[in-house]
Amino acid sequence: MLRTTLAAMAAATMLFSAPIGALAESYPDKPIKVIVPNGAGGSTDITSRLVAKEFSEKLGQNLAIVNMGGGGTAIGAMEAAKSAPDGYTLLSTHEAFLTSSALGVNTLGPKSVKPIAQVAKEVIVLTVPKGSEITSLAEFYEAAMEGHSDANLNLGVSPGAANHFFFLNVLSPIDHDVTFIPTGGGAKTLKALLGGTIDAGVFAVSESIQAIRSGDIVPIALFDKNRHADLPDTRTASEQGHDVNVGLHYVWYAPAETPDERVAKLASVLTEVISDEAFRNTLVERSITPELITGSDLTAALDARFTETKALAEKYVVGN
Amino acid sequence: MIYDLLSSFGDMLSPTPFLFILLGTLSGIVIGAIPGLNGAMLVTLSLPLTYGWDPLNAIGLLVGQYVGSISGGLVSATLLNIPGSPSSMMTTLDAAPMAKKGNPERALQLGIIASFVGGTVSWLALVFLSPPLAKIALSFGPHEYFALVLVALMLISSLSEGSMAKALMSACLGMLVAFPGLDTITAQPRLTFGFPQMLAGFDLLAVLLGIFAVTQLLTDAGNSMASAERIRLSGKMYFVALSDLSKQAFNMVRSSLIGTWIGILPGIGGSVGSIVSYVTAKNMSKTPEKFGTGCDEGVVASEAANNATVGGALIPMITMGIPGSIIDVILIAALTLHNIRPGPLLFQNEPHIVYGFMSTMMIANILMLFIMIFGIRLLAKLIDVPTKFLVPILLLLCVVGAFAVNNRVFDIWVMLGFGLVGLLFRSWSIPVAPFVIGFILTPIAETNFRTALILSDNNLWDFFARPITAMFLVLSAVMLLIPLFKRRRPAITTRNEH
Repeated sequence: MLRTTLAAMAAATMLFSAPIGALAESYPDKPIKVIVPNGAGGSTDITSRLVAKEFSEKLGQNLAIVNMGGGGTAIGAMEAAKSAPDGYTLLSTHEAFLTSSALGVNTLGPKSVKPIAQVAKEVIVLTVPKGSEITSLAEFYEAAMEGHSDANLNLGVSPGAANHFFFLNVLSPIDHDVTFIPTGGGAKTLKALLGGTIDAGVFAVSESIQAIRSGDIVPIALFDKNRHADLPDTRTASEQGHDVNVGLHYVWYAPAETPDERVAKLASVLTEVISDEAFRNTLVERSITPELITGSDLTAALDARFTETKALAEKYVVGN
Repeated sequence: MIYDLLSSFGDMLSPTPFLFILLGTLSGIVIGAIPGLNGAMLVTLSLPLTYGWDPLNAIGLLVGQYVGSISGGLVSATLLNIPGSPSSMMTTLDAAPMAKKGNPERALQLGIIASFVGGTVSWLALVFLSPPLAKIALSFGPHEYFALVLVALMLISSLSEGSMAKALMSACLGMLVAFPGLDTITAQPRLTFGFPQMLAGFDLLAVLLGIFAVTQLLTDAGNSMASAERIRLSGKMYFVALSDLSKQAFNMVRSSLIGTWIGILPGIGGSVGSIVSYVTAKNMSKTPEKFGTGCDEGVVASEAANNATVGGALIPMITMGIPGSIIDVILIAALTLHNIRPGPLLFQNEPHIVYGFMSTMMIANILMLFIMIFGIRLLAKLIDVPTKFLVPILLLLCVVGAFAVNNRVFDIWVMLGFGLVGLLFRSWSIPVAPFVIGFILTPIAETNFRTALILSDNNLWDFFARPITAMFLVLSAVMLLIPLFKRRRPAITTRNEH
């Protein structure tokens, strides 16, 4: 109610003060706060900072990254959603925002924000320790299938987080019977895989490439349309006959009520950023794939991802 | 390995990191020398500053402060008969009488040299014991980790000063405080009482700042430093005779080894190390009656041991991610802030960090020797610094520090709340160390315990079917039961660590 009144007042002020075009010109006239709902130094933080640096140069305005970690991105994401919808507070996050919303930890959900652009993605790879009997996606499915002969496969995940849902997604074509071991995020799951606690793990290429190159872990399948430049010998899931497509997508959002023309302005500058060849290379060097999606394509993609995540959450996670 | 270490020395001796180590060591010595301010507080306060720095610079500053603050306590212990930091408690027993007899320079120099030897011996242990230990720790699964953490919790409770019942209570409270947040297995909110801000639980740094810094500052603000007798250094140059030092050589090495060993034990650091080493030196001495009257042996035993705990304590931290002392808890928080997870994989993934710790400790140790030997006249003036003027400034830094990590005002309230909790602990003389160790180890213990149960199909007996796990569990049970059979606490009881 208050918000509509304020919006009406703002609209009235606009009518009397300046033409819309002139107003759009003046945005942004002060630094923009970007909430990263993760601690400093992690992959989300680093990627957000890389984008923000380039973004602020092209935008001609400073972007201040504010790390607000905790609650599986819920705290920072809800803080951003509740901020003034004036285009001066943004949110940079990824799948964790969808999973924490699907689990009800983030009580405001994806409707509380408006997507601006997807800037990049981390390609996900299924890996096993060296010497594992599993050498292909088919063999992985066989070992994970309900009624399998050997002991349950132990899969390392951070419960409720993106890597948990990646596995659920990968396993969705079959009726699975596996044991999820709460090993934690990427680095900790990698340790569990090296230490022999778990039989398989899913990782972003960027976080596992070192261990793959050293031969300590073996990539089984890549979940992307194309092969990854850093893992030219690893076959994709679709090459192996299974059309599973998961990934960690970095998406920038604004609070839901942010005016469309401001979102459009931000989206157009982000498009410039991601189209920049030098900047694309910066990402590629870190094994991150630049991939720009904006507008209705992005809304549709995010809706589909959230519906899927919610279905998986209700089927496998909540109440288990 | 030697090559990695040497190249790390090269890196850390380049201007920027070296400057940070110098700054850290210097500030550590200064804060350590001012009575009422201690190393744990300094390191906690500096931690938020390092946010955004290169991790190696952060390590340089914080490890420098660690080494410096343990050493600086010697100054006020000698000249004021008040331990500048808790680990210098035993130093007061002999250094102060020696100073009173007109030999303050001698007491200080003996202490400084013993500190250096202690640091060096434990550094050697750090360099040579860490790699094999990390290899062993790499094979540890959830069962082993859980049992190991249990040993650590028992150890801190049974070895911290005062009654074991109070220590255990403190540890349990610390564990309780670690529970709110997202459940590690179901990812559902737990004990958040519906507050979204509680989804992240209590922030480690906010709790540490509260319980170390705020508590200390509030206490300092409430006390006016009693007008203790101040001993002044005479103007003349003085150097301890080499023959006096060589008489202490055996004592130095023994005390350093004791300190290193105590340091390795999880959770207990400087003060326990110097107590054990002092008592041992006294028991093994031909002239035990001289202890407490200003003898060389007492000063050397205490100062060698407390510095030796630094290197010892870094061993379990680097190899297993389990803090060997209170300051290690803060160092772990610092590494986490830089997204570096101490543990067996650190050697493989980020060897430069591991070797950075090693080279920094040695550089800081050498800097400490030079700063203290040549700067002692200036350092001696620090005992006159009135703490009350520092309190408001430092309290302000606490608030900024608590806010900076997550940009949440909530964390400031958490910090202030735990500052008051710390005051209550003090007034009931409950040791704070078990609380902090319980707080940081609980998430590790819980996750590993529940993970182990999942792996073992909820079969508890599986813990005893694993030799290493079973051994750790028996060890912790023994530690819990020993006090029931042994009525008397160790002869020397001292006041609480913080």
